[in-house]
Amino acid sequence: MSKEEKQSSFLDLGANDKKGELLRWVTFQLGNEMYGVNVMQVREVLRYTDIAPVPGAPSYVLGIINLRGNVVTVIDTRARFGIPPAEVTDNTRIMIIESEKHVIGILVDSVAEVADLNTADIDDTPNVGTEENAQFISGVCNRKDDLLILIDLTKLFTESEWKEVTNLG
Amino acid sequence: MSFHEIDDTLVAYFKQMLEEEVPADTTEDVATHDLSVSDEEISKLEAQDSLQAKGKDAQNEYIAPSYDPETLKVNPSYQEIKANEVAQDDLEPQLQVQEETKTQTESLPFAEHPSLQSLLEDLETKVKSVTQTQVVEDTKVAQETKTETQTETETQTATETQVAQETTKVVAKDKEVATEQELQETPKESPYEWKNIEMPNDFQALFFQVRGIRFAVPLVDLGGIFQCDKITPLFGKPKWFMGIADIRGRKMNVVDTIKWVKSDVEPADKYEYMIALGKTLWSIGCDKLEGNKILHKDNVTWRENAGNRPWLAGIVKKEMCALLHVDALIKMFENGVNLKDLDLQMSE
Repeated sequence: MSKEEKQSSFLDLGANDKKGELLRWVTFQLGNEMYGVNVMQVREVLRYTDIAPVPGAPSYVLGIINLRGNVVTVIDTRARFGIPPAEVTDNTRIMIIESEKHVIGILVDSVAEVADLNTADIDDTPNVGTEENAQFISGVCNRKDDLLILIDLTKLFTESEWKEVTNLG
Repeated sequence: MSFHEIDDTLVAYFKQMLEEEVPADTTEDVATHDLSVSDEEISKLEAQDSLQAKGKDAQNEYIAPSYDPETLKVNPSYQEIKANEVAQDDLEPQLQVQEETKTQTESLPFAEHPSLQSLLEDLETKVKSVTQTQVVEDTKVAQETKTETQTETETQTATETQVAQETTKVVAKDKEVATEQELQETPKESPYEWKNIEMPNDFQALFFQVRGIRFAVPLVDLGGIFQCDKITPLFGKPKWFMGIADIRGRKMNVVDTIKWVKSDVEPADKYEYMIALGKTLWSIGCDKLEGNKILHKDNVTWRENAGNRPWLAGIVKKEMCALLHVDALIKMFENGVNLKDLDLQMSE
């Protein structure tokens, strides 16, 4: 399969989202839970590298990295999700994601796999969250013996936050 | 009664009031009074007046003139004025139409006048039933009224135009009021709209314990009891929300019962059992199941008002434990409200 064919197949998967067909999700771990982001939003996965802190940046920003000549802001995903911080390990990864033309990196404990999920199997979560970050969760789905929490990265930041984060570099 | 008549009534009333403030016969008394007073008497009277005025200023008191309700009565001369006006109206309908239009633009202050509220309300209720169905939008009503005015007499046209516009105002005002009421009532819907559960004379209830606190739930509201090793927490949820448990393919929302009841305690690590509520996906954690018992309706002290405990249907007297109002409990969960939040809401 050529590169263009692959790309079109991914786009088809995205188009079938509303029809309740298969979607591919990149799963990663934070603490004891597994999370998933749409594979179309993931550009690449990097090993942990030194992150240069940026003075005056928001608390959920770890700093910036140089990605082949481009400056990318790395987000402290645990802080953003309200999860207690943890030490960096050999499994720690930086996922470079693209959401609405913004490119950022999110620090995760580990990246697991690419999972095919049927949208019909994705359930909504109760809308009882009063905190802002409750809206990041788009649904939950069974994956093996665990529940996979699916994240909507477009809601990770507000428009002003996106601008602030991407302009750090 | 049209608004220009009300206007004239008020004008006549104010004229009457002005006339009464300076009665004509007072001037006559002064005119006929004997003016042959000596200069000494005048100076004495002036001195007394000045002393009285100084005394009042020193005490800084103001004595309001006594209020005489009879002065508010309509002067009989007003009836004559009114009769003349009615006659003029009959003779000059065209003039009336022009005056009506002018009055409509200035009618708002009169509508706000408290003494005219009853008249306005009568007018509104009479007109509302006839024209309310015609009023879909303000502009449509105005256009329809214009069409109607061409086919009918000019005096009727003036009345209907005014009536239609007043109706439009009333409908618009009603809509605004309704919207405001809806907005005000929306947050009160879930926790406070309350009706206690209706149970037969004999019913079964499941008794269970959470950190030593005893609860009972009617069996008819019991969705099931299950055990679960893995509860997946979700970030951004209230602290009493333990997470989601996968029970035979159903994603059950698990509530940390003790954290929901007492906000200041440490959250529970694990509950032995989960009690599903009704047919919903909500479940509450419990430590110990005591089993079910048959209760008679008289065994329970039923609550009549929700108060600040809508989740409580009543107290089982012999057992001294709380009988849960499952529907209200679910509503509270769905609104993200625990007992502390509810207390705060009630205190506000």
